[in-house]
Amino acid sequence: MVEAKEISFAYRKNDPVLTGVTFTVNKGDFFGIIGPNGSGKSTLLRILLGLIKPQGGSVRVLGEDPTRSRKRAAIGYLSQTSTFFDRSFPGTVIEVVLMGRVARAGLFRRLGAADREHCMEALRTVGMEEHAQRKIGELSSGQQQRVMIARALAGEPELVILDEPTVGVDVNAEAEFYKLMRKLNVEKKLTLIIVTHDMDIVGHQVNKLMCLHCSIATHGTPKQFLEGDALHAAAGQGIQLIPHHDQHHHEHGLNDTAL
Amino acid sequence: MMNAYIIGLVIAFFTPLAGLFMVLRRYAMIGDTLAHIALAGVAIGIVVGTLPTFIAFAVTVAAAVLIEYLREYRKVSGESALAMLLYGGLALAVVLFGVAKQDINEDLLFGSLETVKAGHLGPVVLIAAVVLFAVLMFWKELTYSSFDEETARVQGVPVRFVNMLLVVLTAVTVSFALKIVGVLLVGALMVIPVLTALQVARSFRSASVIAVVASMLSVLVGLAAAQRYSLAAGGVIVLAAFVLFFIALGVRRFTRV
Repeated sequence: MVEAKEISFAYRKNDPVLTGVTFTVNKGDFFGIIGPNGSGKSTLLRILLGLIKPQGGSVRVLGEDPTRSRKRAAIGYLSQTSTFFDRSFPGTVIEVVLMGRVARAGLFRRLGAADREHCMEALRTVGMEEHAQRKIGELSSGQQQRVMIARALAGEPELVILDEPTVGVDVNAEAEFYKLMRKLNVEKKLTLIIVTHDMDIVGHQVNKLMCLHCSIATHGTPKQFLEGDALHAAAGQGIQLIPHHDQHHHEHGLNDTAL
Repeated sequence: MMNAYIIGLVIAFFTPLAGLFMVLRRYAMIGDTLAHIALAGVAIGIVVGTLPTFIAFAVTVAAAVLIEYLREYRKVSGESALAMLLYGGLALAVVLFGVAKQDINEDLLFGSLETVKAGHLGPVVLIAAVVLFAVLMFWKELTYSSFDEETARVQGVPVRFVNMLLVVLTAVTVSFALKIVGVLLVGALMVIPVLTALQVARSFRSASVIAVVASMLSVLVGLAAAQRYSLAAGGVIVLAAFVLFFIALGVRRFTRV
């Protein structure tokens, strides 16, 4: 699904945001990318989405270079600002979900009954089908988020990328959101990549986790740390951690270990 | 006079189509900006002594492309780009009218039924057909990028092309609508019927229909009142649009209670 090798990126010379980032996302993974603010999460996300090109290394998403990909329509995307739209926007829920079919349909083709059926199916998946004719601005933030997930699903994606999806939604909606993601991953076998600063997802949701510029305070040598159970204590059992050796991190002489 | 009605209604039909997408993109003032650029275009035409309408049209389209370029490449924010070009256009117009030793024609500022001639009908209908065709052809892309530009871009929707198309269509719309409502009020015809529609519309489709109906009704009422009571048509049209807006506001309040 995604293969990133030694990705590096810097907005300014000698101040790299990402260095040597290598990871693989396989079909069916629920892949978490976490890290504090300024850790390069957004930059990595923009690289995966093809909005910027890495300055070093290579990245393939669905087998293609994301900046020139012909498979963009096969990527479902939920941005962190997806629910920040103008409340007076005159769209119904179904009109918004139909937008998820636009890229797949291509230019000069009108959306038809089959597209509508896909959208209703996506709304059923997120439990919002009875709201199809309601105005999008009238829904709660949690409901709006579910509609945006339905929009991402409506395009029959092979991969869904979620950027800080729980920003701006309340605690209940957040719990519902993670439940839904788990369902999509387990039941619908959907491959998910979630980018977040929310440490709660660690060990609770994802089956693979990569941490950018994270530090876990511990005593002892790095070897003792890696051989001990501190990692699993922090990240939960049953989680696969992606080794990530970050040059930038070590240069700063931190005595902890990058995951 | 019949020509004024036909041309007025045709302009009223296509003006809010571009306006709807612009208002939703928080670009409501673009009509005003482009109208002032068109004024500078007319002034250039007068100074060089040829085709002021055509030059106004060409200059307006070029300015629209520049606005979109500045916004797309984040040279300045969209709102600032609009303000800058509005003042730039007006300043150029003032200087050039001075050079031509002419006062800025009142008909240009406020529109005039007398400026509408039978010969205008063909081009206006043609432009209306082009705008309508383009909007319908790219309806789904325009809607998607107006609602969520970032996601549309990520999914491979040609957002840059769609945005450019929209500003060019807006420029075309403004340069033709100037005839009837004038520089100072053309932006109002593009925006107010849309705001009226947003008060009561339950869907995107209904918003576009209501905006077009509100706009045509304003032009119809405005032209009739202007003719009967010898009033300035552009002003009455915009006042009629205002009245419809407040009626819609009332309807919204009433239906919510």
